[in-house]
Amino acid sequence: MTATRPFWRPVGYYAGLTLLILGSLQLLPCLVSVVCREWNMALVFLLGTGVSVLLGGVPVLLLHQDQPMRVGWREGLAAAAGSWLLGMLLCALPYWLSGSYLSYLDACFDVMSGFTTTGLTLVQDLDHLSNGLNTWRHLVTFVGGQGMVVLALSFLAGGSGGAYTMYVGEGKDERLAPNATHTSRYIWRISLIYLLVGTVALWLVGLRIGLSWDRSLLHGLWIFMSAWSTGGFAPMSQNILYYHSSAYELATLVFFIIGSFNFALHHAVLQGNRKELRRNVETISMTVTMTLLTLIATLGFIRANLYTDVAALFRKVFYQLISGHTTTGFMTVYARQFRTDWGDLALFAMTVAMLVGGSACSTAGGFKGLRVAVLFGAFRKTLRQASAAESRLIVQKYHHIRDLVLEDGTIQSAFLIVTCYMITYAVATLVGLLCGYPFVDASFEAASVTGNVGLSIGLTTPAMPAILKVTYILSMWMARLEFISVFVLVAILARKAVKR
Amino acid sequence: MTTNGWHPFPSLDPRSPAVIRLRRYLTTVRGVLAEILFALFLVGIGWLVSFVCLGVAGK
Repeated sequence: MTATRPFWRPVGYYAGLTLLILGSLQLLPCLVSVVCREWNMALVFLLGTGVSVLLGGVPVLLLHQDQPMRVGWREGLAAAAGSWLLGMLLCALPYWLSGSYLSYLDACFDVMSGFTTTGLTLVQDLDHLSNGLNTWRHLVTFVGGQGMVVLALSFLAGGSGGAYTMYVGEGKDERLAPNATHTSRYIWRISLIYLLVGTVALWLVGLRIGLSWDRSLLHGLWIFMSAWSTGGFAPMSQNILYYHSSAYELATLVFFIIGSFNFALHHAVLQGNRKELRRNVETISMTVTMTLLTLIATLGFIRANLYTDVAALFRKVFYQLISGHTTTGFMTVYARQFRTDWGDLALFAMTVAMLVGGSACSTAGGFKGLRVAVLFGAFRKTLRQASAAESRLIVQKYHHIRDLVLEDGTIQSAFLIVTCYMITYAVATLVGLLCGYPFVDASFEAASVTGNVGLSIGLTTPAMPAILKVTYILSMWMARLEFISVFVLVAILARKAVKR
Repeated sequence: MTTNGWHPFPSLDPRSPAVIRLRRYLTTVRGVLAEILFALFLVGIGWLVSFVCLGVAGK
């Protein structure tokens, strides 16, 4: 008789470990609250830390074993997907206790929006939020960008046998080092290097535009965390428009473009392989799609006779378009301007940009430039094969860190993920329509949540129906994890429920 | 060390851990600068496309 492998042991252990680390992270905003003398928020974060550490620490203590824990694919994928859901429920506690949200569902929506680097928010009176809560909101999005499982893995002492399965379960698949633990640490090292560079840069720009040194520092830190993670949260309700500064816009533009790059690309470039920037298929794909979509959006505005000088066109159209393309969600226009100023042509370009998204294995969402390039390569290969002699075998190559042959498995995988994105987008649009919103609004917002973008046409408010909030939470979660790990978790839970 | 054997700091061993670490830091800094320049290049394309389109449209 063969012994069945204990499924819940590794899942519970690693989910507990992730919660433990997320709980400990709340000590950072707690520190900010103490420094800023926000005593109520400091207590809220202490309570949040206590609850998370208790709920995460108990399974870690109970399920810990001295021998290396075997983690198969289904355990790893389920642990990753489950950690995100449990993490959302626990990290929403400080949001809810702060009194800035109308319901726990709204708080959960904001946490999932942060973790998935979407950037849509249901907070009340954003302009007067405490510094502690603002730090927590931006920290959540910064951790979500790198991946909370990636964060947990980077604390593991050695390479765990199944760590790679959890790493993949979080929608990342590049190996920067021989094992997932070292890969996770490398991802964090890259992000922390940029955190230093970006915060200093935005701090200096903030000082130049007249912010006080402490406000400039905090805003610089928060905006950088949001830009790098392609998140889109900002401390003010007017988002980046609040700063009324082209220098601030340019600085954020540079950081969120870099943030949308593949971590494997960062790794190659920071190791000295700078040619990779112009050879990589993802940067080429992004350059092409960005140029074409900018062209389409610009034509739309020229037809509408709006923004007729280059500076306005650049700051109001290109900025939004690239913010959408990198799935950041920073805005220099008001949400309703998408409805009133952006014509159908520009909105089409924006919707496509949001769905395409940034790079694979990055902080960005969308179905990714790599998959666009793979599908384009497959199309080219099919055309070349059809026009070649029957006996000739066509080999299509592409360059991503190294020269790769486009194989059927890669094409199938890319097609599967893109299809899942399109189905999620269609379902989210449909639910929006069923809730009574016009097609343009429902479609734009659905593209924004599916691509984990965060740009809003004004539909996402605390007043929207609960069913739409839940749909958007699920869409953000599934799209960020790239579906497979969520499907595995749901399948396992359903099978266990049927057996009972 | 250059190809003709000249070295700006002859007393420094190029294989010493300090020099290797310094070289690694410099590579990282150059990598960060390269990424920033590439992002600015993409921004430049956006500016150029906007400029050309407006020019062609006679605005």
